[in-house]
Amino acid sequence: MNCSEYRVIGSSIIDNEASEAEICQFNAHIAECEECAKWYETIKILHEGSSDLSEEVPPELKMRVMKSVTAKKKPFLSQFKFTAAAAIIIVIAYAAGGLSAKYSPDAVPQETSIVTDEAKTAATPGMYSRSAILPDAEFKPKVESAELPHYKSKQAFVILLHGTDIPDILKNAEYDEYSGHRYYKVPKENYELFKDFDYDSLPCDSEGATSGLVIIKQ
Amino acid sequence: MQENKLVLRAQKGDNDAFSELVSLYEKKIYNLALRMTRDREDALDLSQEIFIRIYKSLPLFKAQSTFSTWVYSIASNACIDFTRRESKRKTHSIDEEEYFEIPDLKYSPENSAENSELREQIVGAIDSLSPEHREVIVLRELNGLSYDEIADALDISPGTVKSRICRAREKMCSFLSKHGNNFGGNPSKNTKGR
Repeated sequence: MNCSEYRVIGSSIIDNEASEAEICQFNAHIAECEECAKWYETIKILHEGSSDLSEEVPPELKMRVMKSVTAKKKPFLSQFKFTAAAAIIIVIAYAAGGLSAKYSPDAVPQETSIVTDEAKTAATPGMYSRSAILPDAEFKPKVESAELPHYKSKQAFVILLHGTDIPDILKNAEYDEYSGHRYYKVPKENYELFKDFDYDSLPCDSEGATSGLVIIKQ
Repeated sequence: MQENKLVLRAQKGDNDAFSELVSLYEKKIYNLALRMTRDREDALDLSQEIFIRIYKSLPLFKAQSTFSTWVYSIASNACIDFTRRESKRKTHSIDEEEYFEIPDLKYSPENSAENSELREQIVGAIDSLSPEHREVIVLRELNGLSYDEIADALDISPGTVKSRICRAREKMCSFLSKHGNNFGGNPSKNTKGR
């Protein structure tokens, strides 16, 4: 065994992770090796000095965390209104030649996104239309203008809150994960299957309306 | 209240229970984040991100490991993500261990006692480590996790934890020695081949 290997044992002795046999081996070594003996004393000082490095937690941390997790989630549909607005704004920016970035998953709005009046106004028909049917009784099936900014083509999705049971119809479907939700892609040829799907069976969280179906129509 | 009962309540949507869990872990998570980011504002943001990830992932916790290990596992992933984001932001490329060579003196303690000086030196040495080494040292020294707990949280073997901690300590000794603080030893000796 060389000094490097003895030092691994010495380090584990400091942490109370060495066996009796290892402690004996190491003690025998440092009785003969002055360098390792000095090294051991040094890391003991480092270890003792490290025990007092913790800093007090800023009081706002807990407030910020609890504010985030208890914030009323925006209705699912509103997220896509916001998305639609963002899409339209991006298209305008493209037209003006002022934006060259590609759409990315990062562009998916957070559940706490605020839907502004401008966003609602911007979500007018004209680009793509979709039918959205949500488990929340507050929402009726209707057609909206929308585009998902993180997909280039028109696409249908079933959005489920992460961690909930997956309906049989989606068991083999491809999905992506964003912001605590799974976005199940529905192949175009399967759109018909979803016409008679029991949308009320889609799971949602205690806040409601965080799961749903979106189909981007041609 | 027992931690596992709090976890069960939080999984059922009880935010008071989750708030208690935050209280139990905020100091450990914040100090891990502080050492990994070396900046109080970033540490606050990263800690918040970690707790939100924990909250969102609560339905997935199946008690196959301890809650503590699971929390550190999420924290570790968030720290890795932070480190990647930060490294992308940096434009210059230098040796990993030299990357954080300059200790962050803003952690300097208020008093000028010897202990404060030692503390400052140790913080500088920890900050000089690579994220990989820094993480194991913080989990061990500040958070008091055993080698097995660190191994579970980081999904590496206990043997790797053992050697990585030793290597981190050697790096810290080298850093201190290089900066004129060897605590009476000569820790930077080349130990290979003996």
